[in-house]
Amino acid sequence: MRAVSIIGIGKTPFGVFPDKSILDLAVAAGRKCLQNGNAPAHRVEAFYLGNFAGPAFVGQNHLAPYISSALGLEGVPATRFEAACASSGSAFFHAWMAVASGVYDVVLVAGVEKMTSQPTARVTDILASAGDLGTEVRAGATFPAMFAMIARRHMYQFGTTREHLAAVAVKNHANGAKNPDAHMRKPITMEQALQGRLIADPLTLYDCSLVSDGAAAVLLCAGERAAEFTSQPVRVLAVAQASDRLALAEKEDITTFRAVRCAAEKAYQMAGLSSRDIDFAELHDCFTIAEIIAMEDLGFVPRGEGGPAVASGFSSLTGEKPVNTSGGLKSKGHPVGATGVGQICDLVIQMRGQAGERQIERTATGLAQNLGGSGATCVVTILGR
Amino acid sequence: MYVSSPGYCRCGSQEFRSLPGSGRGQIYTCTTLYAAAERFEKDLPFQLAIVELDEGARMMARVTGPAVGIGDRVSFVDQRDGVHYFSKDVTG
Repeated sequence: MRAVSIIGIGKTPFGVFPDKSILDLAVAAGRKCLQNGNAPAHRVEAFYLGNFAGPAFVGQNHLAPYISSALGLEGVPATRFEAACASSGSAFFHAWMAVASGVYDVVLVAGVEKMTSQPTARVTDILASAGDLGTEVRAGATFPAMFAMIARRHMYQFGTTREHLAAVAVKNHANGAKNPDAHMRKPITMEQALQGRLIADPLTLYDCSLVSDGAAAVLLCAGERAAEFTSQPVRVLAVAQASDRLALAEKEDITTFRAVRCAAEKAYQMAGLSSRDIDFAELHDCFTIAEIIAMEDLGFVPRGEGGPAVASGFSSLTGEKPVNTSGGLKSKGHPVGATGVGQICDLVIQMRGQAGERQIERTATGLAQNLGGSGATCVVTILGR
Repeated sequence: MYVSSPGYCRCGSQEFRSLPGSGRGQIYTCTTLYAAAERFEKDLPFQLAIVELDEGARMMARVTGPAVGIGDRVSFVDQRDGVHYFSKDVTG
């Protein structure tokens, strides 16, 4: 395996864009990324796309060549990866493998989702299809319901409280308010978060991430050639993907995600680092409880202590280990297929010192954790300067 | 009858057989839904739970009747369209 670097990033804002098609969004992010990496289209040797449900949301299939040809990437292999909310994390993992193994020198990875053209109940239906069809979807299980059941069990076993969950939402909204590309740039109070409308008991509207449109892209390059494009490459120290069963009822313990622990262990080993060495992280807060469990599964805090840690400020902008400085899925937005690559862009923005009002000090080592479904896929990426 | 997803065993054996269940168990975790996918909106609000059967297996199920919490005893009451329904034991 040889070293791999990120030489360019590009993102659209996340939000509701009725006049932008899935192609408009993906092409905008891709063009920004190529420009940011000083790479003309003809230097790109392959295209990897993360997208969860383009065919269901907008009726367009065969999305990878649809987008790559619009970007002027003539003739290159173009492939779509689907792993629910970890779709573009998975695309990134496979793109990294292709460069690390020496097959390609320069590849473009993008993620895109166009969700807001469908009514909420239809969006819920499409998202639910990432669950187990026979035992979960048929019974009416939604993702808010599954994470509500996870939250309730976590509360029962560890004493996690509604206030702990709300603290995640308050923190991420405070960060997102400082991010010009965030979907919801609005701080919220603890009272608002606690009094939100119930979606699936004990989760309220404020525990759930947003339904967004958006795209993100990164340009990967063989480490030895990165200097041809940029003086500021960010090194990919590790990336690992792991999987688990889809059905929540088939997991031995739903207060921890086996795929997260497995991907994290591999990634730490590959990077030669431990959780203590991570300066900051973008974690998959599809629901507030997911950020708490991710902190535990990644070893940032001991099991059961994620809730109190968030409430104490451990993971806020000025805390010991800032988490989701971008605002996370909760406030920045969650265009499902764009989320994994979006998290990686957000790490790079911090590492380049371009995060403006939300800039933190220690950014030498950053970690992104991208989760699919109720934990059936996880991709963990560690970046360094 | 409960049909789980295809079985697997670390030893690689394909010899599985069905066992009759008592239809009794307890709530491992649960929630009440106030928002649902479009085809289930007519059922709102409704309770979903992971029931831990006395035989040890866990299954996703709907819970009808009174509200349940973790640890409550429940019994199987019905199966419709592949969905299993449980309700809280009166003496539980």
